[in-house]
Amino acid sequence: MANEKELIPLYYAIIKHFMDGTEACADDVVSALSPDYGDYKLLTHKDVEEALATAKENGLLDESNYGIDANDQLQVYYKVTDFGLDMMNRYIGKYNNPK
Amino acid sequence: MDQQIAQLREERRRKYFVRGVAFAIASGMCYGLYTGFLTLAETQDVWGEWFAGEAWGNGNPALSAFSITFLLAALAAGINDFFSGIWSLLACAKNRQLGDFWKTIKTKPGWIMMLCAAIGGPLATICYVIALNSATAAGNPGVIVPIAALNCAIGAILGRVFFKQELNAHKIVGILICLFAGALIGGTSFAAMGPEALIACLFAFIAAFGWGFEGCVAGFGTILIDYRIGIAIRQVTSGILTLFIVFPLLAIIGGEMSTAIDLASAAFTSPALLILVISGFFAMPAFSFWYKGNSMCGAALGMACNGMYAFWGPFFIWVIMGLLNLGGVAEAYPPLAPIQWIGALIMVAGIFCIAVNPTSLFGKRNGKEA
Repeated sequence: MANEKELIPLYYAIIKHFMDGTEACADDVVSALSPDYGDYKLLTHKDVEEALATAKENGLLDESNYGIDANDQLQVYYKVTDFGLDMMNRYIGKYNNPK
Repeated sequence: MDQQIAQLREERRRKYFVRGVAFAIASGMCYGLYTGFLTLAETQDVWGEWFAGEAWGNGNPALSAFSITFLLAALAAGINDFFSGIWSLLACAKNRQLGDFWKTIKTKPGWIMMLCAAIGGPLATICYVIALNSATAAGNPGVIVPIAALNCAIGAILGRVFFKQELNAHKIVGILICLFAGALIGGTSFAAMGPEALIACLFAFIAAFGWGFEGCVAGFGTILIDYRIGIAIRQVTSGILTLFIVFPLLAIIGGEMSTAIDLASAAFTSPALLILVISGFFAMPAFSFWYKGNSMCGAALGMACNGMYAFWGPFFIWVIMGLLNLGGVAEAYPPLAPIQWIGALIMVAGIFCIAVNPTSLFGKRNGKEA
């Protein structure tokens, strides 16, 4: 579509990370996206956690599992819902980052 | 391990719940402050002269009824949303989100957001300001806020009609409570203040309809956008449309184009502009805290806490205008009558009922309590 290497908005990238059925927590998303979005101010554990919690409240994602990280902090894992998949396919399916 | 997870989850739930409720309540308070400062701005300097129907500035003739009702409302709403848009863009800039803002505008969810802003922005906000102004003229601006708060109930009904969203018993009860409270507030206002109050309530109702529609449609497009960017898109679209399209359009309809130009230049050079910068500032967290609160304590409870603005609106109008007398016309801003405060509180209970299933909150027995 657009020019050489224009990234899609960070929030699209965060929720689209789950489109293939991946189960992931905030830290997973941060490390998956940091090669491309490393210089984004909102690619932090705290902000991504908030983004995922918002997506869950909006019905796009569901909490699927829980773990504990190295610092004894709770990790919440999320998975896409049928509704979320449908919404993403319909409205932001065609926006992708260049490979 | 499992026990530790369970404990951490409980901690997280509790922390999120408290913070979420705090943010959602703060959003309702910001909404009340936005309304209060908007009302204040409209009593100051040239605005005061315009609404009083006097000659204004350096001997300009008094405004026509059309100008006072529609042009001034569009101008005030437009300036407020425009500044609110600038504040939200600044917030995005602080988070280095301006690039994403621009990219999002070019995608489908961005267009939906702009379309919704066009409905909820110019239409509803202008009607809201008209309502606020007529109620002020009738002697008590606070009464229309709870009527406008009916948008919650209308949104639930429209969601049922358009998107076949479920309408449970507790939502229907909530809607009925809201309508009853609206009638209580509107009815007493009408009896106490005469026909202007009826016009005020009518326009407040149209505003509620516009916002209800916006909320119900926007919900479908906006969940895919970062909320800070969504708010910026909404406020910028609404400000630009209201100020540069709807305001001139109304002027042409009323055949008052030259008046409109005078009004706009006077408004932008008036010191009262600073107060609109403040009201625009509070309009931003009114939305963003709401989203943030929702993500922490759940959308339903978040909506219910935010709905307390049915109370905060009249409260802050009274505090700013009446109690603190910032506008210098305190006698024109008495507190609401007891029955109207009660109505506002009943409305909050009704919104609570729409948002939260009481049986799930208090257990099965006392579900009917409201």
